[in-house]
Amino acid sequence: MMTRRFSGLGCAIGGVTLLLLGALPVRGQIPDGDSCAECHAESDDPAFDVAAYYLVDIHARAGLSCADCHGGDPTSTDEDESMDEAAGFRGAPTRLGTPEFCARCHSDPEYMRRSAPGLAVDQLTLYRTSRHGELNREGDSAAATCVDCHGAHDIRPASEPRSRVHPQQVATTCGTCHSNETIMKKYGLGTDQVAGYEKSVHGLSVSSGRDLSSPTCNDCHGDHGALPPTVESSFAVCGHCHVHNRELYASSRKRAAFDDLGEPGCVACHGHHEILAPSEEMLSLDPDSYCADCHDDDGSEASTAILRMRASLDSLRLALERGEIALDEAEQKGMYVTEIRFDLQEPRQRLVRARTEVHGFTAAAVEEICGEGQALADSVIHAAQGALDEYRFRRSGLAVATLLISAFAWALYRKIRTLD
Amino acid sequence: MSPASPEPPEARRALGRRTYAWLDERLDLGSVVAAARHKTVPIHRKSVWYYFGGVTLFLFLVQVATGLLLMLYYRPGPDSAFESVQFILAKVEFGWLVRAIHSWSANLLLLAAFVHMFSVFFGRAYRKPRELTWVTGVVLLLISFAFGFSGYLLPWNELAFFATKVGTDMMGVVPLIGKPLLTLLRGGEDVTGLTLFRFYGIHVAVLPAVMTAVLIVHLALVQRQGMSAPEKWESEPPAKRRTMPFFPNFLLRDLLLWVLVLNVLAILAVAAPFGFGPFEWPLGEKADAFAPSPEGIRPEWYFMFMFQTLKLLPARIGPVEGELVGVIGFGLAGLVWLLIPFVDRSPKGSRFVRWSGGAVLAYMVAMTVWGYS
Repeated sequence: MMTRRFSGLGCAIGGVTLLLLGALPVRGQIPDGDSCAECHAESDDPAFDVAAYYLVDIHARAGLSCADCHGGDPTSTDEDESMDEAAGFRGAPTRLGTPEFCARCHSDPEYMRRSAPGLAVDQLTLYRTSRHGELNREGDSAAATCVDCHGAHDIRPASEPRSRVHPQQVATTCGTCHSNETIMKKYGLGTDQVAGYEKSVHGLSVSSGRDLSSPTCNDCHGDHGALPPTVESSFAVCGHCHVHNRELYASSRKRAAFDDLGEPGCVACHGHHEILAPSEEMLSLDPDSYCADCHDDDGSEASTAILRMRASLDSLRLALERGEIALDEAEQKGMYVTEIRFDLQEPRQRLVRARTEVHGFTAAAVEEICGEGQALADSVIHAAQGALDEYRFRRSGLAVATLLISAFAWALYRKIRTLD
Repeated sequence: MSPASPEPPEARRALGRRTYAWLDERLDLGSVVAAARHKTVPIHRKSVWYYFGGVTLFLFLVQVATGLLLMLYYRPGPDSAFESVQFILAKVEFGWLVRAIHSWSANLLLLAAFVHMFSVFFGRAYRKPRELTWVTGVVLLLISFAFGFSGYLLPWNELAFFATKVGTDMMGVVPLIGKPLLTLLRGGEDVTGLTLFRFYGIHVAVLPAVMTAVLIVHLALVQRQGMSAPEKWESEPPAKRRTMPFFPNFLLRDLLLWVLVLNVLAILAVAAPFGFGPFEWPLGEKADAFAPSPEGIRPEWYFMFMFQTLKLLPARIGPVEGELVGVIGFGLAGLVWLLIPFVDRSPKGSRFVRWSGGAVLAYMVAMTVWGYS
């Protein structure tokens, strides 16, 4: 009797649990009673991929249905009634009208505060300042709008690696148009920006996943207010991250000289898009070097300064390499050199500082930092040599110990033979 | 002042005799020496295997000596263990040598113990009346495993941390006692600083005490019962049985081997202070519970056959977890191994037991090689 009562209670609890679980919305599941979703789910057109929307789109995850953007009455199964413009049906926006279509919500602070309070609401204002926005206003339907960068029904959060605006995807997203000769021909723009960027120190850093905070297209050109940096602004754009380089360059004599020549500060030596990893080789008077564009190897103050900076940087770099080699050798021989290797960080840091100091174009300042680094590197090399000396001492000690042990073993052996 | 003249040999011998007489008067050394002189060791084709027990004992003594030296500088604790090992390696005079010898000696001890155990097994030296010698020997091997497992965590480096996590997780799958035992060993749900303190206590206090006690019983049994000899040797008439005096002939041979092993230890410690191949113990990075587990986590070589077996088992075997089947299987196999003298009681020895032992050895070697390939 008791058992039967308990099993009945168990069934009831199980049934209620199943009902409750069944009532919960499941991600990717098309909601019941939404006539928009039900009809469009039967369509083969990828633009109406309702299942994908409910599976991945950030709006669907926030609980927004088709009608929330496109209007209409999703409760009606009658086509004329559910898509009645008089009843608020907006349908699909035109390409030219897309920014305003999205901005209905995204530029509404009250609405955004409720659903995504961390999100900015100035996208449309910024977009209108961008070249894309200008062209859109001029009636160019080919100009990029929200959906070209973010997608339409498969918009993922930027933090997701598969999002079109994830740092590792941005260059590809921009390249969809900017690497397309047919599209860019109309605007007289080149199409090598993405290819160059992908080879750059920034591009490699992002694509390898080593540092996703490395700049990609939107970090220099802006997100919604996308504009190419001008000659004047490139200095500020690069300086946003390379603060010390910017300060040193700003206070150097070179800035006025470059400004007079109309040369964009950073870009003059480092280029744009295809910004390769800088090296000491850039400081050179060889005919194909940057410096040789203006300076000859004539013993002038400028050329001497270039050579002095290069020499001190090379010297410190070589000292660091010598230290690394000595430490590798000691480690390979079984010596514990982790602490000594840690000490190499200081002179390595000095090399970074000295390379930065080059942007002040003062040889003495670079030499001073390199000198400090050189002294620190020398002490590491000395310690590494000490580890190698210690290794040799160990070997000698082992030889002596082996000799003594062997002599003792031989004596024992002789004794055993005598006893036998 | 004239230089002191060296003591003549006769005077030195007289001093030695007087010291011995003084001790003999108080400790009755004469009876011990007489017993030692009376004791003999059988000579036959398999006599060489006798020495591995002595080598294992020697390596245990090396462990004790180097372990005591390491304790002078090692500081247990999640904030100090790794740093103190770094200090031992980089700053303490000959600290690197002591640690290298401790690590190499631990590995060679296990190797010598395995050789000793299998030589006893295949020679059927466990047969009556030496059943208890076998049991205490297997217990000593298990204690040595526990030494290796607890000592592995002490440097508190990344590899040791995650290997201990995996190793103790396996313990947790044992029904009923698994979870409480896991919590007791770890000092909580996870491997933390508390686990390190517990492992340190186990490694330097609990295990040495238990090991010493069992070792004394094991050695006392060996001394009491004498060396086991092959059945063929025992079946020969007493006049034809070759023997050698234990003291000094056998003892000097033991000593010679110990000296050679010491030299091998010194060579290994200098040539590879952090080991090589399967015998490797790089210090690496400090343990970080929040870091992703490093690639290639693997146990010490003597646990590899078990680790590899558990890796190969499917997630579920019927209604039971594969890992649980493996752990219980090894537990039962260990129990059978411990009770071998009581399983193999036939006078001539069970052929089945001998072949099973061969299969066990082949399995352990194959799985270990597979684990490293």
